[in-house]
Amino acid sequence: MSALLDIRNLHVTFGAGPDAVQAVRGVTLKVAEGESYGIVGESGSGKSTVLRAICGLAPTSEGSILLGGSELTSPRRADFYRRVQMVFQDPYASLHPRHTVDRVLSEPLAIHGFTDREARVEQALTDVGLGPSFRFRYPHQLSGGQRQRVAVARALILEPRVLLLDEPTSALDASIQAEVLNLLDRLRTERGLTYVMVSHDLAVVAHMCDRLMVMQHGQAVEELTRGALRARAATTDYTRQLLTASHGYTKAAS
Amino acid sequence: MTATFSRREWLLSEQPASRRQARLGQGYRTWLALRANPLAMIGLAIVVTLVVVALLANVIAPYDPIVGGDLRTERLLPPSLTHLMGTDEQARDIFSRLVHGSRITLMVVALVAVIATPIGLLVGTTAGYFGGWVDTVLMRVTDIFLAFPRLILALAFVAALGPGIENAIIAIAITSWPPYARLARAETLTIRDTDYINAIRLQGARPVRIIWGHVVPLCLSSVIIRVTLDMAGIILTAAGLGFLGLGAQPPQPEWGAMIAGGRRFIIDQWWVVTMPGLAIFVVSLGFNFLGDGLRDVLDPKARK
Repeated sequence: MSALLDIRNLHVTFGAGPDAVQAVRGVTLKVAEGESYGIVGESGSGKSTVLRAICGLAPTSEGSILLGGSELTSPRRADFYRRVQMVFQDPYASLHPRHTVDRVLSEPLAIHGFTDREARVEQALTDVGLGPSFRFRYPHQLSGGQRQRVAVARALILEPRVLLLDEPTSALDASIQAEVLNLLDRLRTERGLTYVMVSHDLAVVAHMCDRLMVMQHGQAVEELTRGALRARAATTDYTRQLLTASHGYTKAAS
Repeated sequence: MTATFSRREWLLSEQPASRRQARLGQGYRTWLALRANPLAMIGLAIVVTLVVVALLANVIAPYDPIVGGDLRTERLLPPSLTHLMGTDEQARDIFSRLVHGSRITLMVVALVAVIATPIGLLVGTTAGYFGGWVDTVLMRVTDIFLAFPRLILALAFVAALGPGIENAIIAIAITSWPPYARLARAETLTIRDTDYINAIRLQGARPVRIIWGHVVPLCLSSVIIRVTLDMAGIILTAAGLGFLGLGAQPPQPEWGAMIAGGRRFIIDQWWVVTMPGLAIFVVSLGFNFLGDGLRDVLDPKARK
């Protein structure tokens, strides 16, 4: 398997000395081109930190991250940001409160020296299901779902190959969640994107991802395929607990 | 259809069609909020009046502010219709001097704001954004400046450079930026690790672009509020330096110097010190009202 993203024995430690917190302890994973990979786990299991380490927002204290066969430098080079982008969890916190949608979308184009900005901004808005009428609005004039669409448009405007999704729907209403997930699904098929998605919601991951990894206390517990998840063929106790928990939740809810 | 849209609807549209409309609409909303605050409007009226009076001083002032009238008959006249605020010991019309003095006051206020605000913003946001040793160095420098009492440092500065209104302005500007730097740094620290700053970092933006385009706009409102509220203090410091003879030099009609000149007559000819004192009081109050109003409008944390 030729891996687009190859993480080997990743450790992330925040702080130093006796106060140091080991958020991630030796995670290894491979994501192939065009694959959708899920990371699940409870709060504090280090799943978001893995994403942040990939894009350089969290420090890699040990191990290595390879993208397309070459190891990532720290700080990341400019072309890294054109290949990997991220969608954040909370759309209310990920858009600058004083910038219009237009500014949010044109700025990455300006940074990377694109010339046809007007057309690209309009196209990006159309691609995520927002019309050009949204272009000059401020975030406070948008709903949560619309904001997350803008965030997706921002992540895709540089045409990256890999999209890191940090619980992209957990801050949204159930009905909006489905809309955004379908949008992400459609974009992936259309563009052949590679997704790495973090979630605590097994149903979301089962819907979106081909393979997934279960994390606990900063370590990988086990790796499953979608089929195994659906067949509830987990090999470790912890995954079985997670499955039971989500199953019980589904039953009670329906 | 669009032709029937009133200007107000165009400004308040939820679907602006251009950058300009979005920006103007945002400004108009701020203005509406400010207009709803009567004290802020009083403050704004006072400040606008100050600007207009300063601009039209030559038209408004009935007499020459420097050359007085007949020293035998027109000295220290009480307020009357010919001399609205009376005359001083050199037979100069006090009203005309106040009108011309507004230019000096406005110049002091404007120059201090123009010099001190950018320095404070730059130092504060840089220190806050980078953290580490940059933060330590910049903030210790700020602490050193903060440790000096403003008037004393201004005094020392003026004493070194020589008295005069320009040196007084420089002295006040140098002593007034540290609080803005502190404020900007505190704001930057809360902004620095938010997702929208992380997002622009992930777009590959350099620190200069992030600080200037993303951090500064969010610090600006609280710094503007603080500067407006400090204006009263700046006017008073300028007047204080003038009073001590270290600011504007006679015969310039600076309000503080006018009070100093009139204090010999404070018992018998009250108007000589009262009128400039009143002017200082009203303008300081105007800036304070305006600053309070701006805080209600611009500072999201103070909003109900």
